[in-house]
Amino acid sequence: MQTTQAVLLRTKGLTRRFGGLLAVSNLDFEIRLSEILGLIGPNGAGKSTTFNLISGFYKPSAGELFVFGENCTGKSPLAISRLGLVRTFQHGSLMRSMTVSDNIMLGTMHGVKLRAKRRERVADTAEMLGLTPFLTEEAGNLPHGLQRLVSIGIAFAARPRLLCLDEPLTGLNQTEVANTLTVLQRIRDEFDCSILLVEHNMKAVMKVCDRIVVLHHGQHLATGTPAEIRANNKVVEAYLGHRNDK
Amino acid sequence: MTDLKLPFWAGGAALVLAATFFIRDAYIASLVKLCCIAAVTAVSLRLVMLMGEVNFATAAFVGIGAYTAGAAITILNWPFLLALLAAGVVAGLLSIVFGFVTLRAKGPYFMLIGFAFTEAVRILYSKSETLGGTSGMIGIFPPRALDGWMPTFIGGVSLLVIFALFVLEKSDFGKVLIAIRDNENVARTVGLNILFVKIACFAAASVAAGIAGSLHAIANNVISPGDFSFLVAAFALAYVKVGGEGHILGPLIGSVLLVVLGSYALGLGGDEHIFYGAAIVIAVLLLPQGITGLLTGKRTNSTVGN
Repeated sequence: MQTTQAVLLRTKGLTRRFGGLLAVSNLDFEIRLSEILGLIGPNGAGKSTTFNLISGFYKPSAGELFVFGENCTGKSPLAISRLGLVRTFQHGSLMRSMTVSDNIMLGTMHGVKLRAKRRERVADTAEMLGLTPFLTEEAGNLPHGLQRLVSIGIAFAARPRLLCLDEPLTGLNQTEVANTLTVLQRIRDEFDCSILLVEHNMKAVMKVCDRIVVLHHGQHLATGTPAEIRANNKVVEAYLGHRNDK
Repeated sequence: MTDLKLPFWAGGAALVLAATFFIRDAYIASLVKLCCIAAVTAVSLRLVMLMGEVNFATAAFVGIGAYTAGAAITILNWPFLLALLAAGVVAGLLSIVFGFVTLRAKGPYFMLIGFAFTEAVRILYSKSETLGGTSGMIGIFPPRALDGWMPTFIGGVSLLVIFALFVLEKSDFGKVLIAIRDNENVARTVGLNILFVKIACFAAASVAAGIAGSLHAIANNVISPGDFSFLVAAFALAYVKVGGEGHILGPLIGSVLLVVLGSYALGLGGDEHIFYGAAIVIAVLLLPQGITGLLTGKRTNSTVGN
């Protein structure tokens, strides 16, 4: 049933070498409409490289990348972002010296030309993320959990079709994690926006993702629903530890 | 739009312009003109600093503006105001070409390119016979009607240009400039064409620099290549650093303070450059946010050095 769904992003044999190191090797995967796809793997598995490849920050050594049906192999980050793929960064994906409102406004700058409409978009986005009370605060002064939300807010304010989040839950407490997951589900359900989630918090990934892609040593190890991944022996061996831990 | 502080600007401008009516002394008049030109140059430099670059090419565009105005008035006999406008337009257009090529470079590299460009342009003037070679151009006079009103006129034009750059800084476009300085990659991932934004900022700053140059030409009546060495940008950097870069008032305060002090030093027979050097050293060591930083007590982000 799921295979009939529209595909937003597809990679074919995506490969990236750094000197002698094969960071990502012959990777095939796809992101479908309105799904949250988890990209997981142990440290050094090639998650960040994959992330940089699909957002155009790295050029692939081999293989092809299709975003919204267009061949984007070797395209610039700007070209890819303008198609509607917006990413965040693992560290400091926000402007510390600017207010929360101005931060979120940045996401609207390209897509919304009228200043008044931009203000509306900022207000809607802040509301969605629960950032309304902090709009006039300087982003750098906010607690870490809220800063993470601001990063998502900048990206989501661009109203992407595919939102790629690089470890958005790192350093969050349980309440903040639960809150962020709810936000992600709302973004998926209310805006038909797909989300690629690179994350180490396994519990959260299992809870929120529709499908999961597992990388190991730069190679594709498995793809499936959280239940399938949990039951996959190869994955359990490589990554999740002993089967009975859970 | 409350954040533009219009009453403050209107009041300040009225005060400054009213004060110029009472200037009878030629020395004070020339000092006022120097302060205005220095302030526009420094504010232009600071606009590019908002996006994290130190723009030594400011000096070149001041020169280009001055020579454009000079050529328009003495060679082409253009109307006076048209000549001033042409100075801004020519500087702006040239800066778009220069920016398109050079704004891919950042930090020290961009600074050095600006430095080299300034010196190259200066040599071009001195080799051009039309532009008067090393001795420069003479007889760049404003219309007779402005006799006695020059400080008011130059003050008025300067305030207009400075206010225009302030509006630009406070606009959403200005926020993008700060975003580029803080975190260029994030700005790029939300679909903003960074190079385009940088060129636009650079062009706006260069229009202002060009107008500053044209004011210099009509205030001095004489220009020569030596007036537009990289020192123009170095002085402007001193004004910004001493006054503080966190607020547009910084370069204004810095310019007035240093031009007046420098002029006083000149009167003593000393070398005014020593004041600039000392001012930069003192400002950097004791007042990292400049005088405005001291006044507002606010934390602001320094461009140079991070």
